[in-house]
Formats: sequence, structure tokens, C-alpha cells
Amino acid sequence: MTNKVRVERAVKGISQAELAEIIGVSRQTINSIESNKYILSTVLALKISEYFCKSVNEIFFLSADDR
Amino acid sequence: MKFEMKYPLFKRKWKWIAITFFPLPFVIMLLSILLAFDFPQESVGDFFYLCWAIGFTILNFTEEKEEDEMIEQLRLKSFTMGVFYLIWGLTVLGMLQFFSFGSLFTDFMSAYLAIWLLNTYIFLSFTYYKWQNR
Repeated sequence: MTNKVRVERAVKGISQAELAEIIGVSRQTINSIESNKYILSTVLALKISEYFCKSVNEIFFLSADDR
Repeated sequence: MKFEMKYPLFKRKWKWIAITFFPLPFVIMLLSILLAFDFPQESVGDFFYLCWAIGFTILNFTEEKEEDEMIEQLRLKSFTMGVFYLIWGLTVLGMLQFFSFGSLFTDFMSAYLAIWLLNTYIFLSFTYYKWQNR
């Protein structure tokens, strides 16, 4: 799974630490999500997409390996 | 919207209590020599394993600075890998024993050794996964 969290965060102009604080996770977790090292839960994906006022599908995508 | 843990963990300060268990057997052995206390020779190995097993068990069940769903998943993954490595580790140790002593059942193998190895593997796996996701 890939995602556009880094892009959305840059558009909104907030740091990893700030997003982590808002979502209620650690900065390392946000970094791991952005680097595609960690596959997040549906709840967290919904929280992140809700914060960016987008649907989950607009931020998170299936990669070629997932198909 | 804080992450809620679904299982109990020790508070952070327990980490320091856990660390004291690692040098503890050396200190007690030294004291037993200095005070001429006759520590049973056949129990020395098990005593070391027991102290280290307690230390690693407390470390494995002590909460991280920030607990969230990624840490929970890494912890679960490290427990799984710990069991996996233990099975292989004990298999190798068993084979070495069998070919060295001709038996699978010697004084070297004990429950304390297995608990210590399990918790060491869990701790090392968890540390590695945290380093990967730093």
C-alpha cells in the first residue's frame, strides 16, 4: 500500500510531529506510514483522511504488490 | 484521540528495575565467594538464566515512551518471531547436545534457559523492528 500523506501534509504545511499529535500516534509512526514501512489500520487511515478532508481512497492506494 | 492499550504493561520506571537483574547473579556469586556461602554448584547456571529471564520479561512488558498501534503491532510481531527463533534455537541446542553427550536430556537444558532465550529473542526482535521504523 502506498500513500500521499507526505504530500497532503506539505500542502497543509504541518510537520510530522504536529500530525502525529493531532492523530494521536508517535512521530515515528507517521514517518513509517509515509515511508510505506508500516501498513496502518483502517481506523488510523480514516482519522488521517478525515483530518485532510479527503476520502481514504484519495490518500491511500493499493500498490502493484497488493494486487 | 489517544491510543488505548488493550493489555496491561509495566510503567516506564520498571525498565530500571529490569536492568538491575542483569548484573544481579554476578553480584550474588561474588558475595557468596566473599562470604564463603556455599552456593549449590548445580544451580549456578539456572540462577543466571532465571535472573536474566526476569530482566528480559520485565523489559518486554514495559511500556514504550509513546504507545500506539504501530508499537502494538511491532510487539506482537516480535513475540511471534521470539517463539519462532526459540524453536529453532532449542532444536540446534538439542542437536548439539545429542551429538556431544548422546542424550537430549542433560542438566544444561532447563525451563529457565528456555524462558531466558524466549525473552531475549523477543527483546532483540522488538529492538530491531523499532530500529527499522525509527
